[in-house]
Amino acid sequence: MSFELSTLFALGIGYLAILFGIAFITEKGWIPERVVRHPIVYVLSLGVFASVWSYYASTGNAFRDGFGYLAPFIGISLAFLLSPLILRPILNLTKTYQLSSLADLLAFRYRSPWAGTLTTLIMLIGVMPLLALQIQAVANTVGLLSPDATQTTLALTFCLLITLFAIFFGTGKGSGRERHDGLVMTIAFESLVKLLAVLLVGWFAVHEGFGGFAAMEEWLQDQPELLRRLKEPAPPGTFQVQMLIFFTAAVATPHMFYITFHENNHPRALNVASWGLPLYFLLLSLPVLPILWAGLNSGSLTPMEYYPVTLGIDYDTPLMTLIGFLGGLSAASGLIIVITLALSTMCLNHLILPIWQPRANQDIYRWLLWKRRALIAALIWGGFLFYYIPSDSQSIRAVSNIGLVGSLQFLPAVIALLYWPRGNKKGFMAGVAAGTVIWVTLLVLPVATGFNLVVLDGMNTRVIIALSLICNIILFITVSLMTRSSTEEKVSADICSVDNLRRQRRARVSAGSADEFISQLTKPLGERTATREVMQALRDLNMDKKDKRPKSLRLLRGRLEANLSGLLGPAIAHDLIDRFLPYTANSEPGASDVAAIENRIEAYRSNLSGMAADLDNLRRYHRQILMDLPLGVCSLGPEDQIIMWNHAMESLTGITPDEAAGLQLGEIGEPWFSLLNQFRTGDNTHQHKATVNIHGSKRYVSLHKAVIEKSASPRIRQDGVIILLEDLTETELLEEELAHSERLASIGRLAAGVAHEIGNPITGIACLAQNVRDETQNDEIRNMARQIIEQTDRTSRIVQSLVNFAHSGSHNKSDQRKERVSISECIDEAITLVSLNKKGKYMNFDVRCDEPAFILGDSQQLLQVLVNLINNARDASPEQSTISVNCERIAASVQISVSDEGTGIPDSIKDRIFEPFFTTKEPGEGTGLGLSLVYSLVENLGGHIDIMNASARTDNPGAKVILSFPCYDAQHAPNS
Amino acid sequence: MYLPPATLIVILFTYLVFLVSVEWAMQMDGAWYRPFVLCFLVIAAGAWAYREQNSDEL
Repeated sequence: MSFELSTLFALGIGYLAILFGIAFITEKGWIPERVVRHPIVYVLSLGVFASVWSYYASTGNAFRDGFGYLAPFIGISLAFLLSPLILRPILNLTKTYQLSSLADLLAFRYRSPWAGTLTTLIMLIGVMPLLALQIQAVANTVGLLSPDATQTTLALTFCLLITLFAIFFGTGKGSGRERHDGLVMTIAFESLVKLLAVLLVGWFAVHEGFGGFAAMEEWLQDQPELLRRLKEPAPPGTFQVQMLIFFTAAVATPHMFYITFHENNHPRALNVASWGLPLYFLLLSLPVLPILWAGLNSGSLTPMEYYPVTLGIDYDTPLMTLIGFLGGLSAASGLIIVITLALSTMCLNHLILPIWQPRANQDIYRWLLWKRRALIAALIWGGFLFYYIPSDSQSIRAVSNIGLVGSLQFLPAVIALLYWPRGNKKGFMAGVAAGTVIWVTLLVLPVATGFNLVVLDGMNTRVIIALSLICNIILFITVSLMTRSSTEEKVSADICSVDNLRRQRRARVSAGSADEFISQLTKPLGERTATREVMQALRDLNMDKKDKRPKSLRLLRGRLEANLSGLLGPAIAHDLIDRFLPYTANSEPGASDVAAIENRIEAYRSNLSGMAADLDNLRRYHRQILMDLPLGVCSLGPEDQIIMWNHAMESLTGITPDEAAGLQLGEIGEPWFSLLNQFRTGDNTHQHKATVNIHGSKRYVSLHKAVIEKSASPRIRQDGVIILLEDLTETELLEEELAHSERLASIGRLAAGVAHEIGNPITGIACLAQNVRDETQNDEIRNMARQIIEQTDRTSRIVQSLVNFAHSGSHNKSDQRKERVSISECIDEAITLVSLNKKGKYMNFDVRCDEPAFILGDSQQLLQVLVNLINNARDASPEQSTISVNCERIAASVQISVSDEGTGIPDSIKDRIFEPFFTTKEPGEGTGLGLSLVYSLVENLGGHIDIMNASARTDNPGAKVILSFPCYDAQHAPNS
Repeated sequence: MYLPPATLIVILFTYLVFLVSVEWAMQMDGAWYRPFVLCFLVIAAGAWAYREQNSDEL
């Protein structure tokens, strides 16, 4: 059975058109985001790893190695099952620092552009045969199905379509940083097609090849040689070496790195992939054996590798053949697309850009986009040439198998970047170079060209692979231990190391604002690109452009470097940032940053358990204590940088902890800078009741400080000062009020004494004057006696007022009358009494009592209060003006207000009007005891008196006195 | 080196499963799919270990 070439061509074109369609509708947003970003899509896209080696080669491997064919599947599955050890930390690094390939990662870790270049070159050598193998697989399959077809033409067409797809949907907008949802969706679809095709062909093999599972088992039991080959243990080490190669491939092959890290949309997706991808490979590998056995059972003459496609021909079922063909097409196309995208970025960042960079006046994004597109095309067509030139198709397969060994050379460096900070670039270069030389000399060259540079008897592939790896490891460790790491390498090692906490430079960036960042970066990038990149970094950090705090600027610098790393690669980005946005000379590289450490622990928190989690909880508890402490806590690090600023400091200063942390002390503004700086630099460790003027109002604070000495350990750099601020404002006000009350009380006591001493002689003088008046006939003397009597009367009244005032403050509350007092009746009575005074002015009274209100107390005292207040109001008001007396219930209190239409009480004397003998009236018109008496009586009644500020009353500038008393509630009153 | 408990569970379970069952899986007269059963068990253990858990709150 054979197929028309046009049928296969139409099928291939149709399939690739579907891929274009899926990518297109995804990019357009027509597929819901929850579908596109679902972890299952991510897991399926990782299935790109199962290229033709798993789709086609597995059947041949299963025949030769038995269950050894599972080694690749198990190797890569283990990498994902143990993802928290390697993949998760690398994911965190790649996301934070925008690293899109292993070359980026190694160049970043070892701070060497050469590390990236070497990695890229080794990957090119290892991966190009793999590309050729995919093209060859597609061409050979078509050749099998349509023997008359020209394979080269088919391969050309296939490469052309794949090139177009990769260029359209893989290069995005040119920055190289963005995720490609359309691409990921397409690759996931391809993986699904591949899986369904294999499962269908497997099902077909069982049922058409044997008639069911039982029959297949029965057939198998009749094949002892096959069974022996299947279950016989592989030669020692073979399985393990294969597993190790594919374990490393999860990180060290460009396509897996690209999908696993660059296209990851959420760490949760990697969690699902930890078991999802192994499950995918399990399902993919399960039908391999039935397909192989069905092919053998049919007596097929085609190579075993192509059984998934030719089984349909053998059993005369064309549909199954086409399904198998589609599965193979999807396996090949998916890998080519992803691998070329990943390699194009690597080649651009590490081969092109180090020697050829765009000029500042060019559109950098466009320049990069077109270079990347050209590289994609070059790589695919390079793969085509690799397929086209060799005459022996077997050599391509052999070289592609050997090619993956190249990725193994990165295993020591990858593990060291996470777990061995001591490793350095010289060790890395020496180890990788040695391993690669052995790999190329003893494996790649002999297999690809048949040329043996060194002839080693008795060394098989397995031994050579082990030798290359051992040499690599030994050299890496030895050279790293014998040579010094640069400062930058140490910083980078700290960042990458899983066990180390990240240490940031506590240094100032030379540029002092986002605008200065732009102007500095304009020199190498041009104004448009510099502005775009700085604005993008500000958006990423959710940072205000006006933010000039050193911490913020450091973050901005770091973010810019990460973003530029995604655009130009880490080596170029680091060099560019270092040159144009350097730190100031007084930098302290390697100093620990408490905030950074805390952020790191917070980010890692979900991974903590047991003792580590308990310690973290303890840390959080202690931090919470400091944050919620009712005293202001301000911790200053080196260079007066604010490290801690708690909530009490926020209440005092209005500066939030987020705003303050990272600022220099001088940047918090006045008056706090002066206060804290003077205290910080002074010798005293305590300062009592310092005054701070905030917007015209005084605040009183006590300050305490403790100096943290520098630790002897270079890893602990927590020297600095802790300052505590105690807000004494409320206490101070209470003290002032208490002093005022004491003054009033002492005046009262003095008044009582004076009244007592003066009263008796005055009475005597009055009596004598009356005698004189009554006994003399001399009019002049009678007139003088009358004046004496008038003056003594006046003196007596004053003395009586003093006595009343003194007594009012000394009443024993238990002796007081407690009765239900009607407010409205008291007001009416008071107005009547005031009106009886015919010497006074004529006034209007506006009395409003909305509802009957009562208080518990002495009605005479309240009456006295109201008479005094109304008298004062009358004295202050113009003739025939209105005095308003209102009474209303507010919640559980009764509020009485007396207001007049006078000139009001100036704010300047408001605090003194309750003092005895303080009066604004003309001499002889007032004693200055009226309001003092009112104050004492109101306190006796359990009430409160307040004077409304005249300036606050725009409707009536006159005085308004407000009395508040607890409301009498009949239901809760004692039996009275 | 900090080893997350979930990973420790997976490693231990994988080791124990293969230690106990590898001979059973590779018996000549045993069913051909037995190795796949072992693999499936390990994957199931991985799925259980890496299931989503709410982090502890103080």
